[in-house]
Amino acid sequence: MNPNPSSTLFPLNMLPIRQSAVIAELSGAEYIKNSLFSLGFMPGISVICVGESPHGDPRAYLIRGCIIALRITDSQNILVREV
Amino acid sequence: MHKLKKTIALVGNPNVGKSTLFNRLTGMHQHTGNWSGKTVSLARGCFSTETVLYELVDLPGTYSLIPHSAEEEVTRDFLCMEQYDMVIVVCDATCLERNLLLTLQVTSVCPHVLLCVNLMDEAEKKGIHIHLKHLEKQLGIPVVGTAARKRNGLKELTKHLRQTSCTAPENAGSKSLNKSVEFSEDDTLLFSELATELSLEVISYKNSDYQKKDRVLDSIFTGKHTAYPVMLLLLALIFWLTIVGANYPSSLLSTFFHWGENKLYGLFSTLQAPSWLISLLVTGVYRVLTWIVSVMLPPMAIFFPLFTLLEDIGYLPRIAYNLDCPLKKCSACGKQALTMTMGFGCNAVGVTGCRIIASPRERLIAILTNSFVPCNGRFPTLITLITLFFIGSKTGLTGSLCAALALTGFILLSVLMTFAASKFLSATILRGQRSFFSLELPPYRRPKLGNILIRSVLDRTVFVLGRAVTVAVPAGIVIWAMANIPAGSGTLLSFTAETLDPFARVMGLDGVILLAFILGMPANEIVLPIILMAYSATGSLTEIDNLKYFKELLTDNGWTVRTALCTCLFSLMHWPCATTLLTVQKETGSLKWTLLSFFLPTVCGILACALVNIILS
Repeated sequence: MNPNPSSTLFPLNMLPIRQSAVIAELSGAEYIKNSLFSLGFMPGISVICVGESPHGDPRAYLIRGCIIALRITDSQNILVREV
Repeated sequence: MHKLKKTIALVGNPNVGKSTLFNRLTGMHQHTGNWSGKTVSLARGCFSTETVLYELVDLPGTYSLIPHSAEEEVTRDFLCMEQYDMVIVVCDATCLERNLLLTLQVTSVCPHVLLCVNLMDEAEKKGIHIHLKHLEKQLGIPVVGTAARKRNGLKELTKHLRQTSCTAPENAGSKSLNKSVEFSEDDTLLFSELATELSLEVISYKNSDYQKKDRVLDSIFTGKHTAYPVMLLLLALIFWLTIVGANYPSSLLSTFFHWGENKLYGLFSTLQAPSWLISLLVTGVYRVLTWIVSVMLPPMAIFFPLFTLLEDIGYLPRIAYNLDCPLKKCSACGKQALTMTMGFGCNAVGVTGCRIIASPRERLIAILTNSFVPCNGRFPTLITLITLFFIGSKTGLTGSLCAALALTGFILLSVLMTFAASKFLSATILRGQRSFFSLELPPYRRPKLGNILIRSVLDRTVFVLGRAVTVAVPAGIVIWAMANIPAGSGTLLSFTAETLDPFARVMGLDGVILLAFILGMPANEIVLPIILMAYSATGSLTEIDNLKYFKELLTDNGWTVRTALCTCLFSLMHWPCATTLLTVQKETGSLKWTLLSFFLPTVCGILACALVNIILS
């Protein structure tokens, strides 16, 4: 299950539904980063996209056993790699 | 014997059952619900064992000790600045890993921490097993597993509390940390690694697909093609059940109160009370009071439990999830959908609930627009007018279905107006950047029907009704006085109504209706009774159990479908009630915003009514 370091990074909002990925790094403003941290979005953690709202935004992610919905503008700050 | 007093703080992520645990331990009735942010300010309660009196402090849920919103700040400030003896960190057993992040932060700053892993029953149902003993060893603090809703593990919890309070130095007393808490990014990453490692060691899953049922439900409740139809259907269904179910008990109550009125008359006559006093107390106070009880109690006793049911299942956050995109287009926060649904019960509660919105700008938008959503006090007016004017001669099932659909239509209008007003505010005086938004979608939980009934009927219904009754007594006296004090050619009531009349006509109303809305400011429930009283020559509130007579009275006074429509619109959009205004003042701390919360819906209402009046005439 080790993340493959050679695979390319892409923003979390591009993760297809029912696919999983591992968080590589967080970018963006400090307060967004802190908010994401306290929700459990941290490097090395695996995340699954479990669905999207009827409008396609926000989308819901399973992380550390919880479902958290994030808007695309915010989840763009989370870079993930395929597992 | 003098008991030792210990202060204990309850800390944890949102929606892990802190308030349920608090209620179970103290025997109090804090509101609980299956969504993040139900508790927005701290609550205190006490319970005692043979030797110790414990004061329990229920803190708003937080994900981290680095606060992002007003409610999270309350928690951080309490932990850092206030005096307490011990902290209980409450965790959700179904998603322990994320909960451990906060636990690690708290244990790193506070001495005497006890970990309570709650919702063990839910975890068990999902095949999640947690090795509590191992967790205890690794964390080095006492760990107790509980299922607070079922009262499991509470004895063990108090046993641990007693032990810990015994080991603490006798004379130490409660201490405050009196320091600010800072975590560097390295700390955060370290906690993250620790939490992941720990959870790998202590959590085992019997079946890894434990969330499958939830995802199926989500695909219905939040699916592209099903989300909105399901939302509308549920709304219409709740209204239909409320309208149908309230009919019978309402007429029963009003018959009962009518009987009581005759008895009361008899009693006063035997006591030889002066006739003006009888008139004031019986036709003034008693009638307003009983009208409110018989008209409001049955719908509330049905509406609130149904609403609580949705809340308990975990549906409300899904509404916020569905509506976030349109709200984002209005530069508002998706969580505003939650405060709007709270507004259905009571706008003042909705305004307080806006504390869950982190960004001050988005929170203000939610506060200022909350009263566009009709509260429970306005439903009786809407339902009565719909029944009289909009469903024609349909009766029985068709009639009640039409009424429910018409009411749903009005609610949709109020939601659209909330969006429009939010958009207007964010484009003019409350311009600014959209802020970070996150929303937790909790697992669906099977509701406990007994709890729901007891909680919603006893706590909420009685609370709202109690408030309405407190307002109704003085209002009844004022209305009675106005209807009996002579002024000009008639009474003070008729004189004031005539003065307001020209302005009211522009909006498709008349002077009496407008006056009723003004006098109804303390509580919206009494608007319709005032209208009736002003129309009927008796100078006191009339019974409206006979709807046919009631409609005749209205049409005799020039009511048409247009008048009814304008009255409904004005009921949706006018100044918030006095309690809501006071709450806005308290929450914003500014007269300017309070005034705006007064004028924003009022101006919208005047414009909408005038527009409808012009189009239809």
